Amino acid sequence: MVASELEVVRSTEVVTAAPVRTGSRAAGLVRGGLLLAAGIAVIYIGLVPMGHVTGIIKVPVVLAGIALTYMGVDGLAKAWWGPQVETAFWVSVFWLVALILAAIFADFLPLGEAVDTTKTITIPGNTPPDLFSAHPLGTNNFSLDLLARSIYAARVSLLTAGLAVVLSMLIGVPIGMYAGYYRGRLDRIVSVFNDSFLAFPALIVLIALASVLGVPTSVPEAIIKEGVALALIGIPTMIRLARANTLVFAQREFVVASRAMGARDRRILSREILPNVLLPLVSLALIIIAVLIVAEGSLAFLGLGLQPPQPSWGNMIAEGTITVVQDYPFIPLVPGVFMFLTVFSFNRIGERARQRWDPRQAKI
Amino acid sequence: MIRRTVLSRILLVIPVLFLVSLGTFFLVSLIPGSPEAEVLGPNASAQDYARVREELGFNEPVLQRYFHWLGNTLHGDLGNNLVPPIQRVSTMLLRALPINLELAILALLMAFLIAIPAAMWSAYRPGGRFDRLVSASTFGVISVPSFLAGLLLILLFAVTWPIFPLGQWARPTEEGWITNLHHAFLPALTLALAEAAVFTRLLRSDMMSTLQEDYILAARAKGMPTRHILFREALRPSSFSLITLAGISVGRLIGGTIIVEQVFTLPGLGSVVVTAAQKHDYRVVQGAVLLIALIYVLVNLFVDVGYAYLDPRIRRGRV
Amino acid sequence: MSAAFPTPRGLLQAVDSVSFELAAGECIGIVGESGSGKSVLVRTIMGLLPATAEVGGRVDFDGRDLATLTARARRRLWGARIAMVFQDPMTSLNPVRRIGVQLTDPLRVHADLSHRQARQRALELLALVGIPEPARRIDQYPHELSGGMRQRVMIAIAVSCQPELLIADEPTTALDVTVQRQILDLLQQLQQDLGMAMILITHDLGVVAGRTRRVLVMYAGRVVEEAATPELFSRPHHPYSTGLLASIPRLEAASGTRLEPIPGRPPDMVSLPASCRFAARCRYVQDRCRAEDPPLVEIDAGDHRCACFYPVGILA
Repeated sequence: MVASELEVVRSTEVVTAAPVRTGSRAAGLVRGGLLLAAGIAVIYIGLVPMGHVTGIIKVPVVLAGIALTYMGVDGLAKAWWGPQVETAFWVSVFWLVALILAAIFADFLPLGEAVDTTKTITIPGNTPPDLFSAHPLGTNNFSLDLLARSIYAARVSLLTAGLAVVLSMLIGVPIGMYAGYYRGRLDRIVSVFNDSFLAFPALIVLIALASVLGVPTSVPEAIIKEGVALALIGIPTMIRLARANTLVFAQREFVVASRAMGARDRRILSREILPNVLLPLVSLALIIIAVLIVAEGSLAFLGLGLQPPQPSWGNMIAEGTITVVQDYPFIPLVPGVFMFLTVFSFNRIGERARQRWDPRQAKI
Repeated sequence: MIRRTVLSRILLVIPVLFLVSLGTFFLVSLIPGSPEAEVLGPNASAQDYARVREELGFNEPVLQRYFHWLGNTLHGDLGNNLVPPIQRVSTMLLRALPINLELAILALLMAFLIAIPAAMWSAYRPGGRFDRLVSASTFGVISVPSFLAGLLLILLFAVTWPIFPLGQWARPTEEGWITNLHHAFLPALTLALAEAAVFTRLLRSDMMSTLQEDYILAARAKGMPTRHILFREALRPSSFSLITLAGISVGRLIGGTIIVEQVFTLPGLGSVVVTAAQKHDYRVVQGAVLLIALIYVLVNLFVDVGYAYLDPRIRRGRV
Repeated sequence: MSAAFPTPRGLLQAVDSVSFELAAGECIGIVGESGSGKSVLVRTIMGLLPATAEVGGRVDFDGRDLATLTARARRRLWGARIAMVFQDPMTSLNPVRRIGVQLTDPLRVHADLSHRQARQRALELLALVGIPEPARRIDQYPHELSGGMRQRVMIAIAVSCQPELLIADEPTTALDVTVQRQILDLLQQLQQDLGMAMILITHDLGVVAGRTRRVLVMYAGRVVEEAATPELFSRPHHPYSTGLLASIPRLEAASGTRLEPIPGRPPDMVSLPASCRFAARCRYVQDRCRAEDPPLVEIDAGDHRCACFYPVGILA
């Protein structure tokens, strides 16, 4: 064996972590600003009709523009507030707030015509997006303004998903909590039923439910019918989540202590367990809203939900048939982008909430 | 120990299937409209309607109808469908099933192919460029509904650059495997993207915690190369949740492809069920839903057993 | 050598200016309580620290500085020329892989053996470390073996490619007392038979007695005393060393003798004082100790070093 010597020499100075040089902040701002400008320019090219940039090419151009704009905003934010800022989160919050406000005050905004085709006879149909015209995001085959339609469709999606989540929580959480708290027979029965519900292919049940409830004829009717149907789908999931979280907390010491002090079960459930179960559930509820918006959109896409000309993102996207898509890609893509941004925002915010409030031990 | 758990799982399958079929039956019976009108059209006489109604057995109470159907099914006879063209339900289902199966398998394979390398490298270099890119992408993909994704894919790869056909299905028995895969690629990819995003996130997080374990450090101290550490040491302990999720995914992929079928005009199980439901063809709906539920439950059973194989500690009954 | 970790509270100086030499075939012990930096030290030597750690100094191994090697070059050394035995064999062995493959891993990678040759060698190694029925055990999973056997497997893995240096990081801490001695005997035997240099790390002075030629005592990231083993036991000079020795229960002592612990706790490694690091707990502390940090100097001719202004047993 080769003789070896191991020698550890006395060290030199320890290098400590160098602080961020202030010069780089300015550099970051400049970079961010440039990216932002580039992004806006690209979007402009995409959305304002220009001779040599036509049709299909516009789609990747606009998408690239959005990406660049985001990177620009991100760069600026990080340069200004530091690298820990979560740009995506704040953009999501901004988008949702803007969208909700727009949906609430839609009637007062200077938008084009969204529903009544008799008013749009004089307007050319299928016009591409033109940011500085009367129809910034274009019109569809019936000359209805896409921007207006997208905003009114937001009403439907948000209200439906919101109603569904609230209903499913109102019903699912108590059941789940009772099952998780008392265990035994009740728990077993609930679990078997629940697992069977979850074994149903969800979309098919939705379709069946939608057929049963009938096609809605007005917007409020659609919201209620779809909200109830989606709530029915969501209840098993809520039960499962509430039960899982209850199981985690029911074993904790403060519950045992309460019992030892003679507290009645109902008090324990409402005072001790409910707040602990509700918090992670609310964060999950945000993500579930995102899923429900997609589900509502799917129903509308299949023609089972709100009927045109009443706008829903789903049925607007359905207008983009194979033939339409080739010539007028913006018709399905404008509502598509709205839907994507909304779903993304709910997901992002829900994710952040979940990081704060969801105990990692709860096994679903 | 393992045998007992497997047995109890198998026993649980039966009540679940029972409940599923019962529930579907009731649901379909609630759909407004009349089957006899579908069969005869709108211009038949009242007597003809009554006669057909009697023939189809719709004058019986729902429960009785259900037990009739159940009896037949347990003998392997799913009956014929109600609305012409009259065929055996099993034939209809068997014609549609291979499409869903193929799509599900392809989608799952694609999802694994995308998710495993992405998750592994992200977990190996957390916070790095690749990781941040992957995180952002998965998040974005999860937020895109399947019909939108399908539409975008068609837009990009069938319209702008016509690499793939616009839709429809080509059966391998009729037009050969190449054409079949050509047609199946985009729909499978649409399905795969959503699954891959979820898989990647899950695997990444599991892998990151596995890579913190002592035995990974010990393996590194043995001088093992990175590829070995990732694939042979870390992957298996990290894949438990992934396998469970994949099982649920298969169930979802078999039964939940209706949107993709619509976008790409594929005659799969979803389309069959929807058309039948609209026509009150309850036998078809029953048969299809039962089939889907059966596959879903079997796959989950398979997954539970596979779980036990992957973790030898469970195999021996130790926790 | 030095090693520091950035933490949210600041830079944690885990190892500060530690320096020693080890000759081929020599066995030394490093003794210290939890948090003294001994584990970090050996990982620094090997180069196993996470990328965020800040490392300074040189590690001379057979003429090459380990600190400057690329990751790939280091990987070639690990397992082949420098090997490590970890503290907890339950968590250091992959629970979902059989011990046979974990044993043949380094053989196939470093020694380039075929599958069959490696398996044969693995069986031999299992016998070498004293595992009965190696042919049956080789295909078992870690949870099927007892703690002592698992540690033997880890040792087998470590010596499989006949390394020149074996680092044993608290190899017996997780084991029953009865098994501890067997493992230590095994290590000592292998070290002599294979002519390896060995670094034995422990918090238990009893482990190094009679098995090592020299001992380094570490406290708060520094070496506070260094001497030949018998010398340390008979004539300790640093108050910490004397405290450690005094706190060991002895058979010869009368029953009812009180054990003498060292009061206090180790300092906060993120915000270290400018004084002697042991000053807060030292029973002989003087003003100078609270103001300055004593350097490691030679006392008592004959290779005995101590970092104290007022070493025990030495008149000023």
